[in-house]
Amino acid sequence: MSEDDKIDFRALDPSTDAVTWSLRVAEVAERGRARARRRSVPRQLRAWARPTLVLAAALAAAVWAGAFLAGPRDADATEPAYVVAQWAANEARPSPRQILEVLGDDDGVR
Amino acid sequence: MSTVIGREATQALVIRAQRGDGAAFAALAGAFLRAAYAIALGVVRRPADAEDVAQEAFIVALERIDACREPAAFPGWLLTIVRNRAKNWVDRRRLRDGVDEDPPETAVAPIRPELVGLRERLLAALTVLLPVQREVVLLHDLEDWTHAEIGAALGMSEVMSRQHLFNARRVLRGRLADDALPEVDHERG
Repeated sequence: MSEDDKIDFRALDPSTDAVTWSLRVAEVAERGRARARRRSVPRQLRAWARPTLVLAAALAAAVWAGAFLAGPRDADATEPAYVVAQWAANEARPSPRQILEVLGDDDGVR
Repeated sequence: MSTVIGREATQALVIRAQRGDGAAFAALAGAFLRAAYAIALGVVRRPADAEDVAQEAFIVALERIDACREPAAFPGWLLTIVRNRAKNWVDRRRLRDGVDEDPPETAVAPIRPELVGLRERLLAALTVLLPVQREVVLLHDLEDWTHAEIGAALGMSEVMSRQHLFNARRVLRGRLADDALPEVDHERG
């Protein structure tokens, strides 16, 4: 027997029992796959977290930029706050009827 | 490995498994579970325990298949996991049994060949090898891996793999030949 000849390890080969071995292989594959699937759920959530935050930040930036570019909104001359501010600036003395017309009564009716 | 699946096929299977392909998990287990067993056997030196260690280590590897950054290097990555878990298993066995040595399932010596089977003789002979020699000879002679595959998986050159195989076979043959001698010859000697 030369040194190039293989050592016969068949006595230690677990796959000589082909049926038992194939069952073991199938079990390993199935259990490994099941664990990988369970492990992938939180990983997937973590993977989605960053793009979701980036998208939300981009939307917020777009809304802010739109509002900024549109400039301040002109005040409506009929709005109560504007009218009252005008009274104060002009030191006007509105009558009770004018006040009720602008601010409304207890029911908020103007 | 060379008789079952090549480097490119391994890479493709690992990528498919990373995408959740169930058939790829089965193919990887079919291709590499025996190699995992060979590595585990080299460490724990008990076939039944080696099967259990290899199985659990393989399941862990499949569970963490996403962590295999180089799919083509899957064999080496897998065998590292198997080796580490086998060593942990041996450490736990030592703690549990309170012994420093790791006897195989049958005592190493004295061996009376007429009383023990080939399996026990092989296990006993393997104990005299260096760990790396055990891995090389088992992967080559049991699993039919080439030296290129062994070198890639164990992180050594092909030349070094050949050297380990040569030395391992020489030691094993000497050991097995000694065991095969009839007891009467020993007494006469």
